[in-house]
Amino acid sequence: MPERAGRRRLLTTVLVSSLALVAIAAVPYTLSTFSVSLVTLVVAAGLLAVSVNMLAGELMLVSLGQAGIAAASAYGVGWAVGQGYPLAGQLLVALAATLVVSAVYAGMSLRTSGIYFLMATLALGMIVYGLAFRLSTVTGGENGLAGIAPPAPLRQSWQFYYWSVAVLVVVMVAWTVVQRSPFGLVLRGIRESESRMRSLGYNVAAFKFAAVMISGFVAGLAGLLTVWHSQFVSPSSAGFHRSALVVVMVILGGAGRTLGPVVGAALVVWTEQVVSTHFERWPTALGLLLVVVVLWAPGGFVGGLEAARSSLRLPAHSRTKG
Amino acid sequence: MIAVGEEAALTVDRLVKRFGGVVAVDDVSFTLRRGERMAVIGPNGAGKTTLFKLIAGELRATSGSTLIFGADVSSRSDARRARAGLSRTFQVSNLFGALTVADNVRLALLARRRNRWRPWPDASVRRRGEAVTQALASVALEHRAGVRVADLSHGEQRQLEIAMALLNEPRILLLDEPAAGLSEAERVVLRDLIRRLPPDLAVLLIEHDMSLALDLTQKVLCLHNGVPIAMGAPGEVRADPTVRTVYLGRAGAA
Repeated sequence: MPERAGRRRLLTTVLVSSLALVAIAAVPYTLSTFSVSLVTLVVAAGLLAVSVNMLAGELMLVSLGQAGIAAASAYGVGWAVGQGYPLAGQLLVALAATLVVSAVYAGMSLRTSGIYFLMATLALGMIVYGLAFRLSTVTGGENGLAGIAPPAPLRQSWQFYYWSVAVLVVVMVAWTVVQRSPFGLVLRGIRESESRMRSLGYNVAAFKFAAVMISGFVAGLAGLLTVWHSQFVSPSSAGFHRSALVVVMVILGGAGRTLGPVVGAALVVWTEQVVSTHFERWPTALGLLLVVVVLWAPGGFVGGLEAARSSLRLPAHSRTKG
Repeated sequence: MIAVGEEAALTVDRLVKRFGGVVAVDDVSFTLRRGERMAVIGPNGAGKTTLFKLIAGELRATSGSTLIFGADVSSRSDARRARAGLSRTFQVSNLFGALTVADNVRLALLARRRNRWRPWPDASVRRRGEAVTQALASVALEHRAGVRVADLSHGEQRQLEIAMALLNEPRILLLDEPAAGLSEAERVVLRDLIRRLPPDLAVLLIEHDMSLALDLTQKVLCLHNGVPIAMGAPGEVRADPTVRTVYLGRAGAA
């Protein structure tokens, strides 16, 4: 009996993932160029939401300034393009900017937790925003930096789409592996009780620092995708509005769920780009949606689906979260 | 019987802790030798747990020093003292409630291993593993490996606490009121568990329950309002008139 159930679950998994694969591959063939570009935007925003979800899920640290890290990476590329650096140089500058800014966030995580980390990252995001405005010789000030094209083999919208999806999938798979590793277990231990981890002899600070740096690296990748997509970066990309929307994506999709941030990104980008053409007050629509989710599906869309599925299968008690 | 060695495992020298005007621990000194079992007793608010926190490094002493096997650890963090061989349990179970029993044990095992940084799955997390099974078997919890710790009974949580403290391969074990809130049957299990601890482990036990403390140890320190009022063999301390007034007299049945 259990063997049959296992085989059936395997079959379902294979079926669902091959369907998903076909759907992902079919996007450039079936949708308009505009829609492909929109889906790419979802992927880039989803990656940034994934970076927030890493810390939210494993350490219960919610970053309200994650767009600041992504913007650092985007400005890095933009500046390097302006200097006429080759691709490798552009990537190195972006990486350096990402790591420096992430290190500040990571340092802040050692002294704070919970709501204080939220406020500290909010402030750090605002500092990046302010610097983007003020350092106009590097950042172009209010006008930002334009003409930041992706490398030649990624210039077609379908090429860039496949590339973005590949980056997202690799990051998500890699993080799933990390979650199952000793390192991932240690992070969950820290989430449960920092003091207990210290009394076991763990260097809690080092682990938190590493986790925030990894999350920052992914945020930097997201910044790279975003800037190559729009070929433009301005201070608003580091703004509070951007960071807050990313947290909204995570909550809507389902914090701590692997697919949650991507589903949330799809909802938010769709509302922002499509609903807004028919309905001027789209932020109100988004706000209402958020209230509904927080009240009736605290696990977000993905959590809600899981709950619905398990209540169909097991009508009684045992509901587990994934 | 446990053979007490000559070597000093833990030396506490003139420890003082002030919180504003309150002196929570007032000039406490003692030496715990390798393999020795010692109890700290005293009424509620006597400063027992504060003393433990000073020894474990969770609190910094106002003055005085703590030595682990001769090395002065007074200015070291709790994590570094843990790595020096000091392990403790908590008065209120401080386990990873949302994680399974097996994951709790794995975290205790990984604490001293280099692969705790490994970002991909390996044998230490993938399978049950011999070490995990052994540790759980030593406290009779092997059938509970997959259960969330928050769903364990109070007694089982205490057993798991001790198993995890031992996995750190400590040379000194601090037990903070291990019997607090346990039923009579759970107390018996715990007493056996403490008796069966490795013979060369130095154990310092805080206990409110006099009979358990006097039964399990060779040396007893009695605190009252942070001040040490008696130290010696269990029989002597029990007979000490000051102790009887502040503690036993009130507790009645000793």
